[in-house]
Amino acid sequence: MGLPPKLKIGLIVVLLLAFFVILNLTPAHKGVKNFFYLISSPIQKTFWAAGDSFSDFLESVFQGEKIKEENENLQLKIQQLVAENTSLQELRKENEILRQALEIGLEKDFELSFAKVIGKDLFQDSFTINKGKEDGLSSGLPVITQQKILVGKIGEVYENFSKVILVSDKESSFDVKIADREISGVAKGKGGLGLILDLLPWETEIKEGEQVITSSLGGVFPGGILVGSIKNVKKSDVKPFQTAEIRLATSLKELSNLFIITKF
Amino acid sequence: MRKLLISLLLFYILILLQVSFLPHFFLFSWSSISNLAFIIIFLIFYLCFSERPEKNSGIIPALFAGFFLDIFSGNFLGIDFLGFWTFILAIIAIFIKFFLRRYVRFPLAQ
Repeated sequence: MGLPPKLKIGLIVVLLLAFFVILNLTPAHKGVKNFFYLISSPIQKTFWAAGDSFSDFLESVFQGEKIKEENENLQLKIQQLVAENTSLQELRKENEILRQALEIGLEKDFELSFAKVIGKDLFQDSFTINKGKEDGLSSGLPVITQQKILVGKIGEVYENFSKVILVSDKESSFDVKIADREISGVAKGKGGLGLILDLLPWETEIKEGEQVITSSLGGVFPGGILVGSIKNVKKSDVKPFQTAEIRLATSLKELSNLFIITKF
Repeated sequence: MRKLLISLLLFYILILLQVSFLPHFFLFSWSSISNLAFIIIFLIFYLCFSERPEKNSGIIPALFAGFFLDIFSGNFLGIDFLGFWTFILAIIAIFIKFFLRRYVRFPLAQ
């Protein structure tokens, strides 16, 4: 006796539904699941291990790109921070110099303009600084260090830059005197960062180590600025004046920050 | 019979892949009813449409596919009933067989 297909299917569905309802009402459904888990566990383990390693591989590929990108960003940030740090260090140095100048009281004696050395031509005894006509500089202005030591004077002035003619320049000549004594002379540059003191009165006794300061006589520099100290005094019977070498009070080679006296 | 066994094995492997392999990948682990459930549904459609009109063997793989889903997949929308997917897939297969099949002809059917 054959049932119509529709009825057969309907019967199957009803039986199936009844079976699952009963199964779900009894603890047997847990047993069914447990059975399938048990027989599937070796395959599942294999799939799990494969998925794990494959996802690790994919992750490493994608993470590699991410790490690379992050590394590039960090490198960029480091460069920015290094640049910022350098700039801050420069500012700190500048601040220290200005503070030192303030402690000496330079600002009380003169009107000053701060400048940085951007080029040195020691064979020509000249520096290039980062201030020029726009900053109010003009030719002939005295240039000193923050310790109030004479460096030279402004030579050529450009819009934004200037040349500083060092005291050791062969063309340089200015009035000086021995500190605490009324002995005057003329300091002359001899090139190669050297300076000599000429026209010292023959009868006076000059000792090595005595300090030489500028004199306001010639009007080239304001008076009282330290130039250097005496060394190698040369006194000859046939010459009416004695000469001496001047050991510069500052190392011109190492200077990087200067003050220009704009008014004295 | 051979085709039936192959399709049952295929569904079994697919469901195991779904629960053990694909969860490692973010895209496939976003839901308890993952892409594979739809793949299985698609396969049932295929089986139903690709057999002779008078045959009903496509319903059997649908039942087993649903059963495997019931065993291995988690609760769907909070329903914890062994047989839920079995019925869903069986109803889909029956619907295809006795309603759509009567009015639609596909060149796939042999």
